Amino acid sequence: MIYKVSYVVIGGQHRGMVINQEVAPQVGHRVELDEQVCEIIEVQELVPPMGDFAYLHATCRPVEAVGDS
Amino acid sequence: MEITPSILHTADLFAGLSDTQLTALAAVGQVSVFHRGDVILKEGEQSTAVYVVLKGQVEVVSELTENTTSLIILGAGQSFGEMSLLDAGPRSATIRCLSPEASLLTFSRDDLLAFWNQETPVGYRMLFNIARDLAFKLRIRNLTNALPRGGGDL
Repeated sequence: MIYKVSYVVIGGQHRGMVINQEVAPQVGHRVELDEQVCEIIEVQELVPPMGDFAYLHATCRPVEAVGDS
Repeated sequence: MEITPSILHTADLFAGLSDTQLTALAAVGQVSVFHRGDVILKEGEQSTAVYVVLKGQVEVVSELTENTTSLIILGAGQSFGEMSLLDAGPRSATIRCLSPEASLLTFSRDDLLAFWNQETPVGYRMLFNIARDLAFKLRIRNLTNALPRGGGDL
């Protein structure tokens, strides 16, 4: 399955990202979006799956910038 | 970069196409490599090519106001330029290479339309996929507009 995921970061500090990935996003997982580490807090199905593709929307909160100590 | 059906299978623009169809389609396109900061297409210009991100990341930038605004990042598997393919209108945003390097599969409008006329089932499937992607983007816009301070756009 290919997951087309729209990532949006709450707070408006990050522009968000859309990417196709082979692993399903899950609440609690951390993702790196343009050097910003974020935690996924919600995943919604945006459009019903079709064929090999699922269409998801993941809401995240920023955790830390990459390279921060 | 060699274009194989397995690479193209990960892009939803090509969902539902067979390996044979993907191989034929890849021959119509051209792979272009961009580097960080390169402008791939410019808002307002009259180009009509369609792009698929094979590797790397690009950013969608709006220059409608005095302040240039970065709207969203597009990673592997994402396509852009399809609006100009459909209506031949000017580009609605600027696309810039964000990662150190990005590989894109590019189709000229004329080549793609000619291929679709020749291979009608491929044309039907890809137009359906484009419509589905536009629906996806509209739904994202609806959701992100509901977030505090916007949170993103397409």
